[in-house]
Amino acid sequence: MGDGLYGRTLPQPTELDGPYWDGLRRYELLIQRCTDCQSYLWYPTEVCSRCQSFSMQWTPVAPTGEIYSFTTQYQRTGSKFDEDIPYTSVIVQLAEASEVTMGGLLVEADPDQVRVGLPVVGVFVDATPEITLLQFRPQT
Amino acid sequence: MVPSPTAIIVGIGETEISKDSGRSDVRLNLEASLAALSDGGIVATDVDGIVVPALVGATAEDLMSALGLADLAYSAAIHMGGAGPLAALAHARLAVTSGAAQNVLVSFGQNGRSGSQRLGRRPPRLQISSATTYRRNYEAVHGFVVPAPFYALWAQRYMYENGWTSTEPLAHVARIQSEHAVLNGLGLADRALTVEEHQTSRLISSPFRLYDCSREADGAAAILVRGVANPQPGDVVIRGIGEGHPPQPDQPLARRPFLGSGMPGAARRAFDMAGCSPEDLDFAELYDAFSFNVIWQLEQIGICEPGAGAAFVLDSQIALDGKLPVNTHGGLLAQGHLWGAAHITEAVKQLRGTAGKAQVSGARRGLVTGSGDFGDASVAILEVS
Repeated sequence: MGDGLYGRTLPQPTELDGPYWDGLRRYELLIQRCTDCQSYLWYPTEVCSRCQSFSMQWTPVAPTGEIYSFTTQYQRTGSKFDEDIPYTSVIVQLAEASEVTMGGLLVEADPDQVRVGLPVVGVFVDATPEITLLQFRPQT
Repeated sequence: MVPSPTAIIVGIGETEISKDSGRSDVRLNLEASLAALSDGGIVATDVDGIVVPALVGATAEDLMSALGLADLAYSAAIHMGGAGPLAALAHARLAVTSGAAQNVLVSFGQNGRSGSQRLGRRPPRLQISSATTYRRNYEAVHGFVVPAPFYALWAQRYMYENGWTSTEPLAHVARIQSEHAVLNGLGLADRALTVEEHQTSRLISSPFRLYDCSREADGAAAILVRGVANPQPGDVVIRGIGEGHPPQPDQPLARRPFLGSGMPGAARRAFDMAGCSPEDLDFAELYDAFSFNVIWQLEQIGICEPGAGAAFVLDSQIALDGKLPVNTHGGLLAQGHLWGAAHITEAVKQLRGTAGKAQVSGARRGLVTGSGDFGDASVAILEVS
């Protein structure tokens, strides 16, 4: 996983999730939404898992929400993330699409202050010229 | 071949459990398999079915070649992570009761500690379908690179929903199982832990500390299943067995319900087939990749009401002299992580009355679980005839 200066694991965008990564490069969070039943769908999918419609649209959603669960990593794993220990990984429930929970790294936070329900906002991090990652920080 | 209505476990075999076996994955499988065949009173060429429980270890082809088998009437391979060994037992039961095969071997063996596939030191790669992209693009990029942080998320959410103020219940799981492992004497744990030792051990993936995590190990365990028309007294019968799968099986961070898994369905199917209920059990071997999984499963399989698992554990009801002894061999936490294969062999020993110092007196019926691949589950109820 030698991923350039950023060093940590980088995604390998696919045909299916390309619009998500293109959105992040513009500092925009896009989530698939079913145009028939209006459900937001995550992880990226070929078909709406609620109503089986193939008609979906990548839809802008505010990158804000609450911590649904979290863990702070102290143990080395042999990956480049070892340089960041202790770091906190979270699941965020999106405010505008509460059926969506997604993973993220929590930055600018003291591990002792992290709790379920903590409001967070998105931080767009340009990892490489091609890849921008969505991370989160506590709302101030 | 005539179908035989009842599947029994006629043989078990194990290698030692160590941190460095000094021999190959295939060799470990062969040692455990030959021990199981000998225990079952057959020779290698009597084996006509092999179910491979995992994507690691020995393949059916490895075993066939090494054992000199001319043919197999039945083979299958399971893709359910740590639920694999027990799910393989379900396949073995189907094979022998349908008449597809007579003697079916299930063998799990791996250098899980000394080998290159150590789970705590590598990304949780899944090589099938879209899972590879999921693991990398939506999880590993956020630091979820090994299993512990995933299970930590489930534990943290569970603790929040159930109002826990400390991880003391987890400490008691670790303490009790280490006590069992010392009695069992075959695993990695060489002494019993105290609650304080657990609570002051280093953090791994919060809320998990060192002793909340299973001990990765080298070793193998094998099980031989046969179909019979009429079980004889003393036979260990597979009375009920079932599997279950969670919604969004490869999407753990987005799963709804987040704490959903295949375990409740697997348990329901196993109890229905066996025609019994949780209060009829004498012991349980619960798949314990992490201490939290024991408390979670006590509730998922109906031994405790939702939210009541912690009190059950704090009251030592999972100890040998408790209401339901759990992980009498020490489990993955204290004996060593063989993907639950040794949960099955331990249950057979309990039912035979050969479990040594950790024997549950008068054990007639026990439950075994398998769990893996982020929520796949299998449950079996074994009974001595």
